Amino acid sequence: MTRIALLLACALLFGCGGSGDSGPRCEQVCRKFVNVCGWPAWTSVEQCKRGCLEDMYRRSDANEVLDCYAAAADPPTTEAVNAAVDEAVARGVYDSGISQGTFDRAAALSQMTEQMTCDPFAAVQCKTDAVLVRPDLPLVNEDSVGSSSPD
Amino acid sequence: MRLRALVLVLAVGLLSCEEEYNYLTSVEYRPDIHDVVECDFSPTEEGWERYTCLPVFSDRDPESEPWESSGIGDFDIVQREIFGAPFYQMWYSGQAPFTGTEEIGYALSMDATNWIRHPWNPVLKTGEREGDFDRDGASVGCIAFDGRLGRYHLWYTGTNSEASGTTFGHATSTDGTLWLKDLQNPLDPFAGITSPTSISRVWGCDALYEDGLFHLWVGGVTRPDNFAGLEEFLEQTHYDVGYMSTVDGVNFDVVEQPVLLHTQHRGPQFDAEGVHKPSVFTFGDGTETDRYWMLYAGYNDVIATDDPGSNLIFIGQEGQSLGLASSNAPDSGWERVTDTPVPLDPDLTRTLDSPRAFFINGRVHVFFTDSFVDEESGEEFTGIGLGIAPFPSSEESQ
Repeated sequence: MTRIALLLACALLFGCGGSGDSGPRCEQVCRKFVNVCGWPAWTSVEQCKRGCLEDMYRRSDANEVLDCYAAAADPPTTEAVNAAVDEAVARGVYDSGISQGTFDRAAALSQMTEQMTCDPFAAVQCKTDAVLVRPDLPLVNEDSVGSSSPD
Repeated sequence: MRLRALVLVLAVGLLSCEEEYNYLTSVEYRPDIHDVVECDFSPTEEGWERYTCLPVFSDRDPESEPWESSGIGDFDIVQREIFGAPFYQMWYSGQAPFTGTEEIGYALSMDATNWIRHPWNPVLKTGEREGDFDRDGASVGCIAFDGRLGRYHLWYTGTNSEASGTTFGHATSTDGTLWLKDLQNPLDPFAGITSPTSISRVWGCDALYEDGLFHLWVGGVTRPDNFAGLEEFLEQTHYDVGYMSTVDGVNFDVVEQPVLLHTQHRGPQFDAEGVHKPSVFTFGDGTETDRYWMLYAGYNDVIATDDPGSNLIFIGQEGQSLGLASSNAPDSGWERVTDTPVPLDPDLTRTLDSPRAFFINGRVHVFFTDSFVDEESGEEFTGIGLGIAPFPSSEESQ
């Protein structure tokens, strides 16, 4: 019994099992979300970090997932901005400006850079991509974990 | 004893480590909506609270674009959890001025009250070809996220005034912005159903993805083939909620009989004449309380107007309020929780419609459309409201 309790305590102390290494990175990403982006979802970095550790629980791909979230907050690379503007053009976002001859690519790049910095739509997409990979590290207590499906 | 208590506490802690978790009780350290929003919630009755800075979303927002500037219509919301906090993805119908064309936009909120419109809106536009079923308009029905394939499914109504009228369609997306319309559109889930008591048209829906299956609850109408005059039409036409399910989004298994009926023609109840716009959320495993909970809009007055010129009857509803029902099965056994409306209409405007309900961290959160008055112009307009209540309340858990 004591051994089980200690095992459980260790798991919790190290941030839910598999996410033991995620603490510093979770804090880093959460500082961006809360302090830099000013996203109102959490009341503090600490609250965000705790949720982050939960999300990374059992994920062997925690680093990749956290890279995705960090990229959603960071200013995009020049290549990423150019690609996004190209895609927007292809999807017809700038159709009216193009047809009227007023489309300004430099202005579009600048606007896109702004939109892609602290981009919550990109953060949600990280979540969408993350659910495709099932957490695969061992459960600490298999009986206690259920499942739910998002609506 | 102390060791057992420690194990219990730790086990509860470990429960919180689940991916895509679903808590049955509130978790203190997770964000509380009261702490992240700018305005207060005002208590109404029975634990319900209504947000005081309403609407949270409308065509009067400064960020509103021309394509949506004539009004916001039906909408649906997918709620995702990121780092323990709810993020709300909304797809909504916007109406353009002059043409009245409806198209679909995408917006996101991290606190349920401040919404960011996607810069590439509208994300689902009307069809471009003459015969497209959605050539003249596309309006949100319902949306669900398939967590296994990472894909959003949208069911929507399309209008082609010169061909098929208003019909039902389906589209999918992996990012919420690029939608692939189904080649089988338009869809008729009720094709081949001959029961005179089956609903025959979709008027608003809600979708829920569970274990490889999409449940769809649909508001619909049962109407007579023949009738003599408006009075007989009103007596024999019913507005109820039906159920159907689908695996692929386009082929449906339809339960022929409605699962939630209007209360009573010309009765005194708030939902006497009709129920529609269902929104279902799940709570628990169905052992101690029902698993499925439905918010719906009920109304106690139907106004039918005959247009001899077009030989059409136009139908409108008045006296709308929100009701709550529950069941342990998605396709049967639905019962009203109370005979009175959900107390989110303290001013008794009777204009609440299109609820969208979610269970989040010990509370039910309900978005709904309501009528508001522009303080500057005095004009009425439709926007989205928000209310919350602890869930389950002691009454609901019995």
